[in-house]
Amino acid sequence: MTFLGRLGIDSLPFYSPVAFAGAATEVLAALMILALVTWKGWWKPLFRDWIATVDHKKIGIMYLFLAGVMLLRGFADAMLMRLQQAMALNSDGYLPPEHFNQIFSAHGTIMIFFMAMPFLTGLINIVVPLQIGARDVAFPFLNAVSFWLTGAGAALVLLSLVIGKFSTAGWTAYPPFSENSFTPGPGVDYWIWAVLVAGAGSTMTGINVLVTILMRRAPGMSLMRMPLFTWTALVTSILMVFAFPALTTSSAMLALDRTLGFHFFTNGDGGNMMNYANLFWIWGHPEVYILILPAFGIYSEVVATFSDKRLFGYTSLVFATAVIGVLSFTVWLHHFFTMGASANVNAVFGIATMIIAVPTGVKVFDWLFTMYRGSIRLTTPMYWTIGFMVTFVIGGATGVLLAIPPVDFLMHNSVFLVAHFHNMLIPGALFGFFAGFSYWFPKAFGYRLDETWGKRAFWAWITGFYIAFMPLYALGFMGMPRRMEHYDVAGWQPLLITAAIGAVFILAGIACQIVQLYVSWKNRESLCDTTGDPWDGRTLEWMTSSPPKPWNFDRIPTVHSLDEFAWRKETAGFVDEPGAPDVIALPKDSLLPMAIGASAFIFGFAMIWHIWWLAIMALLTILAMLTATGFTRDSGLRIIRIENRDAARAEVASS
Amino acid sequence: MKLIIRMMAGVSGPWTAISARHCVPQALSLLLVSLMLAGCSTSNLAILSPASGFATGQRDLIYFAIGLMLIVLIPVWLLAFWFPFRYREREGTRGHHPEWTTLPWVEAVVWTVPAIIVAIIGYTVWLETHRLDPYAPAPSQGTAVQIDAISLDWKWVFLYPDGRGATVNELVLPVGRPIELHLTSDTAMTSLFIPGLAGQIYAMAGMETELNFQPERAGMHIGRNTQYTGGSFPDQQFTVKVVSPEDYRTFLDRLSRNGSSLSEADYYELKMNRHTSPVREYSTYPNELFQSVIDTYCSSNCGRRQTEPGSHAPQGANPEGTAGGKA
Ligand SMILES: [Cu+2]
Repeated sequence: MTFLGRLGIDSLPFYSPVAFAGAATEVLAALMILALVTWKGWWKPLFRDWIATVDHKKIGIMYLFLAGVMLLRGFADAMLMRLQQAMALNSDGYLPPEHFNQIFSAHGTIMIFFMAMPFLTGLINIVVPLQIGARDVAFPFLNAVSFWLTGAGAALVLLSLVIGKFSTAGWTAYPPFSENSFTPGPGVDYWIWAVLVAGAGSTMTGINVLVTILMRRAPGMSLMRMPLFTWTALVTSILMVFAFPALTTSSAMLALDRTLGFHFFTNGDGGNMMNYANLFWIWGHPEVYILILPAFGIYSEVVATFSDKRLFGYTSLVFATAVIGVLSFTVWLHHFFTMGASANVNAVFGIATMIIAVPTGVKVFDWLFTMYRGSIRLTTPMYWTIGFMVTFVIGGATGVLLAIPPVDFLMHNSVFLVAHFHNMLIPGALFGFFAGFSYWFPKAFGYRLDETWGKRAFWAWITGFYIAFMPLYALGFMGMPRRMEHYDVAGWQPLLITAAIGAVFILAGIACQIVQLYVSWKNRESLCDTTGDPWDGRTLEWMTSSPPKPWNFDRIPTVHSLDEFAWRKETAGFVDEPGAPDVIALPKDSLLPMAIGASAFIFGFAMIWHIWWLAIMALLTILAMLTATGFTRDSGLRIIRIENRDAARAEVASS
Repeated sequence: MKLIIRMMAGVSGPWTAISARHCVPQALSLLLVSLMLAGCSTSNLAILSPASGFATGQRDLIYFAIGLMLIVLIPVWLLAFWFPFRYREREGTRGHHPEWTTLPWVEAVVWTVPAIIVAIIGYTVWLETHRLDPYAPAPSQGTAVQIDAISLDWKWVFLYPDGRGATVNELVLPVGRPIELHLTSDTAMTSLFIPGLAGQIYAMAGMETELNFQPERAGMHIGRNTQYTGGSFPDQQFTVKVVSPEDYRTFLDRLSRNGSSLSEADYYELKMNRHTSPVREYSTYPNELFQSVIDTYCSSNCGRRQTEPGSHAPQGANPEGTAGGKA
């Protein structure tokens, strides 16, 4: 055993010119950012205002930033794959199998764990405390720890491009292929530790959001007066709390197999990979709803606001959300109908899966009827929402098809399946996150996003989506499996070239979004939101300024109705009775969460490369920091007194 | 309800008939499959032009489910375009609309229609999952041809009945007789799939899985592993020749007259040579090869020789078989 474990000079990416170029780009980008920050003298404000913050809104913005960066990386992977498959008829294309296999593994891992999860966690962080009239989340320090753990996981994935290789075992890391006998080397370990570190963060996020929503609602806000986004965040957080431990368990068992020679999932020696498949999907299926439910919540808010109406069937929507949450735990076996279970088992899980289509269908109709006889403003968030409804139902239908076991025997492992889950996750989840991003952007930043570029982005994305994924449905009928580095069926190539063209449209969509951010920032004066209520909103978050003060509300509002803010605007003669001045206690900023994240990153890195002394030191550091946190007294809080309701003059005192 | 059940029980019959005469179901699926596939030609859509009873049943289920789901999809598409257009904001529309937040009969329709559709599809799923269970013998008078398949990196070894020869990357089947394919893996988990002929089932080390089907037309197919296993995974494919019973006998004779036999050493070499392989034919193979491959990974009595007649489960396992109980 050496000092640096299995780390050596051969860990650098000289095996593929494309991988080397990618690594060089990544290192260069990192160096440029560091240089820029140094040159501009941003280090101090960066640490003071962002890295040390425990403010839920700023943490939310940092999550969004992380999601944006990882979206670019994950999408670059997608482009590389589409290009390879468009070329690789009877040839090796331009990517060696070793590199192609890393790319699709990284693409899935990044998009699920480090793009979609941070995106929705960011939106929940920014919006939920505001929607329920709270000053912050229940555990602000823990919230920051969760963020930095997610960042540590993302950093491990990014690092794998430069030092060593990433997993070639797909984003699901199915054993026995992901065991040492088939994939030695650090790749799968990168996947394991990135997922374990980030998964710990997600579990804690789930606990945090759950407790926040249950305990920190403003007076008068009963459960059935909660906005729908808060409802979906609540169900999502419950799913996180119950589902993520299964992922943590299965990944940790795989780590034991690989690192300490256990035999949980190995071929032979008593191992059984079927246990992994079960554990993984007991997390994996609820994960789909962890991603989609918050998007459903966003569509609900957007469609009500821009139809100038209350949501149609609020109770139905709440009920449907809860039903989906419960049912999502009962269907995991549909991911492996082909594993040889009996017809009874397959049929039961197939039918359970289809039942989820009922509450989902109800939701779609409730959104449609919300528009009925409304007064509809076709803003960018509305575009995303309508685009979602039209496209998502196709994914729902193909999902029902895949839930029929005899059909799944034909479509399993095919690109039809790939098209299906992209159909769920792009129009289903990502469009929702984009809608939420433009909807709440003024709340978080104080100015609206440019509408023209937003709509251009929408048209490019949705056109690109259809051109990129409809051919994959067709290819599925032609029997094309997923994850093919090359192929010898000439009939597939035209469709794969079409799909690559679709990816170029999506690239244009992403470019429009970047331009949109720049243009909006340039015109931030004219797009400024001075009222705090740029959309004629209906819920509490629009009652406070944009961006809100660190304590969100000078005075916690009392809730009288569903859509409290709309109710207040519509109720003639409503006067908010002034109460006694509030004393606000805000948690103190701390650099410890970042330090914990950094130590977790080092711990993961050391475990991946078998540098045991470093792993032990990093682990001890984390324990020491957590212990130190335990001794911090509440007197360390920042106390703010609101003296005058209108002037909101804040007297900040540290005690 | 009884009426619906009776209707559904006969549904795959008339449905197939329709699909033969018109292009309606194809047209429906084209909605999904995009406009790029012109006309009603399904010639290169292996899955939509099946050559076995099982594959036909599987395809008809696709048409049936798509047809039913369009009952929900079409209104969604229409309303999603009509409402935003009809009720877009105009002069004086703000704040001048009925504040209706629920309507019991609309809610009832919205819950019951999808529920009925799912109930119908669900009932069909129950029947069809049993009828098209890969473990269920193909409904036929003929005696089953039992072939063992072993998955290697990155090729397939097929062992023909009664020790009458083995092939690599080539599977020859007689038309009109039920095929009973027994699978195991001598590498990572793989999945054997013959589009147009048989759905897929995993092959796992130390375990045995089964795939039943009956070819109804002579012809060529490509079978492959669809479960990614790294390396030359894209090349792990084999040709399937469905031939007349006479040609099948001729093939077996040719195979048994073939001079080379598959020895344990040959097998080991095939296994360790981690590449795909050209078609190879052998006249004999070690008697207990399939079982011994399973036993390599499973020390405690696995595989078919320990299973009771009519049961797929290893001893001691839950006979209902949650995932893999049949392994
Ligand atoms: Cu699932």
